[in-house]
Order: sequence, then C-alpha cells, then structure tokens
Amino acid sequence: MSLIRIRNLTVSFDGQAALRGIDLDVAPGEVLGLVGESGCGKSVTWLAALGLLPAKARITGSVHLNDTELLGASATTLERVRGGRVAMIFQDPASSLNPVHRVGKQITEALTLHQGLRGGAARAEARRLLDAVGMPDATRRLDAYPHELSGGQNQRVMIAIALAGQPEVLVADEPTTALDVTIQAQILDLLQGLRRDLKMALVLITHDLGVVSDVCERVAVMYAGRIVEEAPAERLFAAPVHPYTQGLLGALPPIEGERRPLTAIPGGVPEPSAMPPGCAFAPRCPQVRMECAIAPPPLTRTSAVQRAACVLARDALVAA
Amino acid sequence: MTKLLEARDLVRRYSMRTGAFGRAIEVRAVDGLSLTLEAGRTLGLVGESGCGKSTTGRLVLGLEAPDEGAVHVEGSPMPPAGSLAWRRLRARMQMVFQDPLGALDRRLTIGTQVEEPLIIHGRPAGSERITALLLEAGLRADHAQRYPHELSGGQRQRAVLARALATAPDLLVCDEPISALDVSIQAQVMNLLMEIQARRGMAMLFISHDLRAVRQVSHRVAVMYLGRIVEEGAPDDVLHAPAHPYARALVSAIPHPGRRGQRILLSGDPPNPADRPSGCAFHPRCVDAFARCRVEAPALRPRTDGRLVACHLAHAAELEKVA
Amino acid sequence: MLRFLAGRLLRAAFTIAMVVTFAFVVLRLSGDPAQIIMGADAPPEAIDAFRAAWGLDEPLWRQYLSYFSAILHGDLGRSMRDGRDAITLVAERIPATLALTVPALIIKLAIGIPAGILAALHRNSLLDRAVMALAVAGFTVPSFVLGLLLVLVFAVQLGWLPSGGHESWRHAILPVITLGVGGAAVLARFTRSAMLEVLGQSYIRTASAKGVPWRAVVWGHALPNAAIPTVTIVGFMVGSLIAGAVVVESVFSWPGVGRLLVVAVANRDLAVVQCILLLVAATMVTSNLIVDLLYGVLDPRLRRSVGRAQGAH
Repeated sequence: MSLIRIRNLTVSFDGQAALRGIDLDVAPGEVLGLVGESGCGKSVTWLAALGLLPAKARITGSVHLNDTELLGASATTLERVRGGRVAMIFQDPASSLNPVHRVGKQITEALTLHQGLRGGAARAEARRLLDAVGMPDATRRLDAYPHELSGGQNQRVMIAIALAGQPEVLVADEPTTALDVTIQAQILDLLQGLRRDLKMALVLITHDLGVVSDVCERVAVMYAGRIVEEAPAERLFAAPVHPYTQGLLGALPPIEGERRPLTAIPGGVPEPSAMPPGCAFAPRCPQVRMECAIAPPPLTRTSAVQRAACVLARDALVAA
Repeated sequence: MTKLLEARDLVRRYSMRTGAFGRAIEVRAVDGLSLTLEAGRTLGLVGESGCGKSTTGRLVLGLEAPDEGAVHVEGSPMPPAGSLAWRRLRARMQMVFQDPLGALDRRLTIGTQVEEPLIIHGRPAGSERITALLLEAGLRADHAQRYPHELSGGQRQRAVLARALATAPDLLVCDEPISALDVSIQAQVMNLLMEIQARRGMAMLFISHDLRAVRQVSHRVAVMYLGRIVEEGAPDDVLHAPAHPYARALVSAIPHPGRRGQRILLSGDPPNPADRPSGCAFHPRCVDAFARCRVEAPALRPRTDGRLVACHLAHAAELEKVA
Repeated sequence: MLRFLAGRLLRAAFTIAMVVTFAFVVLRLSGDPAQIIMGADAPPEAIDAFRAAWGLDEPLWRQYLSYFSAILHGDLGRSMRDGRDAITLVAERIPATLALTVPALIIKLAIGIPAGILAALHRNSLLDRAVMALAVAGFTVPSFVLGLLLVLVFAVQLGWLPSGGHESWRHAILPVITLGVGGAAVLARFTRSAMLEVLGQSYIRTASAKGVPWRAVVWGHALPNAAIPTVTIVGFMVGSLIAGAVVVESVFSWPGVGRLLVVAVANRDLAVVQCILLLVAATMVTSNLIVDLLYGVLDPRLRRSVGRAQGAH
C-alpha cells in the first residue's frame, strides 16, 4: 500500500509546462531517488505536492497521501501535512534558515506546530533532536544563529526541524549539493541512519547518480518534466534501458578502469517553450527512430520492476 | 617532460579581524606549497572549502604575489602583477573560472570578447580567427553575435574557454570549471578540455573538489588540506591506494556506483584556516594521529614508490617495512 | 562595543563640525549681512559701525576661530536683527515645527508601511498596482504644489479648512497632510521592495514547508527581515523632524524652524542660520547613530561577536 500516490501531475507556469504528467509511488519506509538535471521538474514535483508553488502555477492531477488528497486541499490540511507528515529540506542550508531567528527557535516552532510542545519541554526536545542529528555541543548551539554555523551544521539543523514533526516521508531536495564531499558523506550517512531508526520514507532528489547509487533502493530518472525510467537502483546501474539514463551513467567519470572520453550527450535540455512534439529526448538521442518524433512514449514495463518511457522498452520487453 | 612552471614553498597570508574589536589574526591560505607544471600535462588540485586551492591558482598565475616563496616560469621569476612583463605573460597563461556568466561582460557580444585578447596582445584578429576559436570550443560561428545571457551555462563556459585559448597559451588554470554545470554538460566540457590539451600540447592546472572529474582529466593529482599538499601522485594510485588519512577519507566519501567498502566518516567540519591546529593540520580529525602529529607538521616527502605524502605515519610505516 | 560607540561619536562630531564650517563659509561669501540688514540706503558709517559691532570686519579665519570657540563654550551667537540669543529664537520655534512633523511622521509610518506590505503580499494584483500608482504620484508631486493644491481645494473652494496661520489644530491639518503624503509614498514603495526581496528568499519557503500558517510566515519570518532595510529610511525621516518642513512651513505661513531658516538666510542673519544648521546636523547624526545601533539589534549577522562558532563554509 503506497504512502504517496502521485497520478498524472502536471504543472505549468504562464503557459509553459514544467511538469508534463508524473506518476509516482512512494512506499512506506523506502528510499526513493529522483534523478535529473536542471529543469527536469524533480523539485517542482514535490513543491507542487505540498502546495509550495507560487499562486500563478497551474497544477492538475492528484497527489494522495494515504487517503488525503493534497492538491487543492484546504490551507489547514496542508499546514498539518507540511512538516507533520511530509517534511521537505532544501539545497542551500545557509539561506534556507531564517537569519534573524536563533536555531533553537526555528526547531521549537516546528515542535509547537506539530507536537504541541512549548517552553521548557519544547527546548528539551529540540536539544534531543540536535543531538540525534549529530550536532556537537547541542545545548550551546540551540542559541546560535545560522550564520554562526557551518554549512554542514546548518543542514543538520534543517534535518532536525524536519524531524520535529515526526513525518512519515522526508523529501530531501539536493541536500548535499552545496556541501563538501566529506560533509556530504556525513549527511548522507545521517539520513540513512535516521531513516532506518524512524522507519521514515526518504525521497532523495539529486543530480548526482553517484549519491543515488550509494543511498537509494529505487530510482526514478526525470527528463524535461517526465519520468523516463524507473527501476531498483542496482538494476538501473547494471542495465539501463532509456538512452538518457545510459547517457547520464556514461557522463559520470569512472573511478577505475581505462580513461577515455566520457559519453557526452550532445546538445542541451530543450527550453519549455521549444519542446519537441514527440519524445523530448529525441533530438539528442543516439538511438532515435522515426516514431520517436510522433508522440512521447508512455512509461512501459520492461520487467516486473523496471519501466522506461522509450520505444526501446518494447524491444527490451520482447527480448526479456 | 619540460618544466613549464615551478612554484616553491609558497606562503600566502591574509590579515583578518575577529569581530569589530578582536585581535588581528593571520590566516594562512597557502602554507608552504610547492608544485611543478609540465608542458602538455595536467595537474589536478583537489580539496574542500578553505584548503587554499583557489589561492594557489591565483599565485601560480601571478595574480597575487606570495608572501614567501616564488613562482618561476621556464626558469625566470614571475614578474610583479600589473607590470608590463607580467601583462605580456598573460598571453601565455590563462584562467577559466567557475561562474561563466560572471566571467563574461554582459554588454559585449561573444565574438567581441573572444577577440579581445588578440587585440590586446597584437595578434592577428578578425572574424575568421573568431570563428575558428568558437568552433574549437564547440560553439557555432553565429554565436559570435550573441550576448552571454542568450547562451546556456555550458555554452557560456565554452565561450570563456574560446577566449582563454585565443592567444594559444601554454598554461590554462581552470578553477572549478564544471561545478556549476549539469552532469551531461560537465562531461562535454571535460572531454573538450582533454581534447584541446592533446591537440595544443597545453599544460593545465585543474582545480576542483570533485575527485572523479580530477581523475578523468589529470595526469597527476595533488590533494590539498589547509594550505598544504598532503599527497601527490598518479591519479589511479592516489584514488585506489591513498596513503594520507585525509586522502583516504576523501576517496571513501566519493559517492559512486559500485563503491565497495564502508565510508570512512571524518568527524567535524572542514577546518577554519584562521584557526590552525598545531603540528599536522589534520591531526584533530585523524583516527591514526599520535604524539608526534600534534607537535610537528610533516613535510611532503617521497616514499620509495615515488608517492609524495605529508604524513609521519605513512613514512614511519615505510621505515618499518625496510627495517 | 565601547570602541564602536566612541568611533561613531567621533565621526558624528566631525560631521557636525564640517556642516557648521560649510555653512559658515558659504554664508560669508554670499553677500554682506551689514548691507542687507541695514538696508541699501543706509549711510556708509552706519554700515561700518554695524560691521565692527558684529566683528564682520575681522579676517575670515579669525571670525571662524572665535565662532568655533564660542560654540565650545555654549554660546551660539545672537541674531543680528533683534539681538536675542540665536538659540532662544530657534528653541521658541521648535514646538511649532514638531507640531507638524511628528504627526506627519506618524502618517508616513501608519500609511506607508502597511500599504507597502499589502502591495507586496498581493504582488501584481489590482491592489498592488493601485498602491504603487498612488505612491508614484505621491512622491513626484513637489510638496509646495501639493500644498497649494490642497489649499485651493479645501480652503478656497470648499472653505472647510483655513489656508494659513496657526491658531487652532484645524490649521495644522493641511500642512500635516502635505508633509505626510510624500514620505508615505516613499515608504510604501520602499517597504514593498524590501518585502518582495524577503518573500523571495529560501527561508520563507522553508517556513511554509514546516507547516507554518501564512500569516505567521509574514509576521514572524518576513517582517523582521524586511524591517532591516526599512529602518534606514525611517531613520532618515526621524532625522529630518526638525528641518524637513521648510517648504511646507513657508507655504502655510507656519511659524516653525523652517520658516525662521528661510527668513534668516534671506537676511544673512548668520548666527541664526548657523544655529539651525548645527541643530539639523546634530539631529541627523544622532538618528543615524541610533539606526546603526538598531541594525545590530535587528540583524544578528551585524553584531560584533567574539569567539563565535566559526564555520568554514
């Protein structure tokens, strides 16, 4: 039984489509990776689900959280869900925290909203959360301001705030992109540990396939507002079906083996205003066919656990 | 291999105040760094924030003068920044930065900006030369009439590259040239850099925090920590059998498909150059630190296998093997 | 902290000294007070006597030195027209000016800031565009034009309000409105941009993502940050409480410091002009100092703290 069911989610801004029909499921307690480059819509998906997009965004489709429909829900419902059932943390921790509020206050604010804690009880719980996210000297740090902490420490604060509402799902939008590699390792390790201990589902949004391979159980690859491939992580890296996924994997400089030129996907992501009529990837695809320009291919199953939005998926299924 | 540029024992200090009425403290961005750049080869300089890699890039180019130590270009010392000799040297050494939009003038066309170095240094200019440079960087001839904001991030970086190559420099310093780009564009730019280097026989200093990218483009890798090089060697050697504890942690932290083994997690944050630990700069975070590490900073010395390491333990282990 | 204050006070004193010197020099270079006060057809002996009496025949630098030392002793000179102490003359007029500028400041704050916030919250809506259009009108129309227009409409045509003088509180209405409108317009525009800038920041999105209700996001998260740049402008408005009404006082014949200044300049009544300028400089400088201190209160990033938990990035 899925915790989150997204069906046919579309988002457009001023007539430009940012998301062109997403179907996605998140099971309780699983780690899902959402991979793609800039403009693919991986962040917009979750901002739309939580109602965090500006008013001018046109959103259609459905997002079910257990039995609750999130799209078009009342403000009260959304405020309860945000942080309380689905928590989201963002990319640049330094600018994602209010510079004029102490860190402790920003955590207790969430505690008050979702757990009804106040005063001393809230502060004690905030301290416990800071400890749990690995912040050294937690008691003193409660009174620190964000600018007094490092990037890694700020991200820990963000995670503590996210946990304050005891959410069922934590959506982490590029949580380590702005951080150094060794700090990134610490934060990813922290997220994995927390997820195990709290039995929380984790949606990791990133452009770094390496991060995904390390941390995620299942992966969905997005391109130009659509999901183009979905598979368990091992399978995706071993046998990607969609040429874009193959290209992304080939673009990753290998750690070992012979050094040769990387598979560079030529060209760039099409502008939302100049989207090709058929498959959005067709102009850059090394395996393009005539039929690719006619209509965007639907997500087709290639196996019990893998789907790809590509005409090649049919061939893969036949071959399998 | 011919030595193009040699930097010896560079030190670069900055003065900082802690707060409005704190004492003036000295920050050593670069603390005793030596490196050699060979013609036609790439040295990858890798490290995290605050390690001084960007400062090193500027010192190598002569954009800043070191407080101690010296930079020599083909045997002669680097002329002072801004002097006529230094400006003439610009034709032979160029830089590519992280933010291509910031590196380009918003009000000039790409063509004008690519041509500018040629005009400054009195080389033959003209639209044919511009087109040749643009094509070499993977752009089209018509991009010459466009403005920077009309190009994508990857295209802008190519324009910066075309401009840098205009005077056929012998050295290209790239400071985080791909970090701001999408993954597939990063691959394109990395391929381009390697191609250009092979074709022109240019030396390159590739500065990045991304060890994977550094391995891809470099012939030699140097790992920096708090202003010093702590390990230097062939990329695969450093990546597969790192000798310095920090290099080991850095390598194990790289998220990569098929990574084997447990991550080594460093405790704490990358250090503050204003607050240097005594002795070996890494010792507060090092699991293997012992008494000597707190007192004496290890020098970057070669092991028997040629690897340069700045670690008491790495050399002690060697001595044990020999003994 | 003490060093910070000491430094600022020193700078403040220097600024005031510069203003006073400037006034001193310009006034003496711009015409002969003796001639102007005694009148064009006074006999030359009378004019010379006047000059001698007021020390105007001394070399410029000596006049400056004696003036400066007099200030340091608290003596700001006497009016050349009626011989009374300059400072008394000015002090008499201050309440009248404040009676205009303080209510005007209240209007600026009470109308300008909420208007700006509302416009920012409903960006690009009809409300936003209307508020901004009014704001542009408000600060482009020069105050004397606005003042005269109001007089024309409300005093002359409708006869609801008096056109000049200062007998009752009703006389204050039109001048206060004239003064307040321009400032409210500027404040509205400024507050709007400050709010828009803050609302576009990541931490506002984080607050919403936490489940904080929108009203609490605006009040608790956005406003405290938007207050920081707004305080600068408000500080400037407070600083001009004394001298900001020169034009309006003239238009409405209001016997305040501004009017006194105009008359004194016309008469080259040196001591009075210098006294007023000194007062203005002092007020401005003080209000700037308070604003600087306020920054530290409002924005923790600007506080001088030693031994912070330093982060590398």
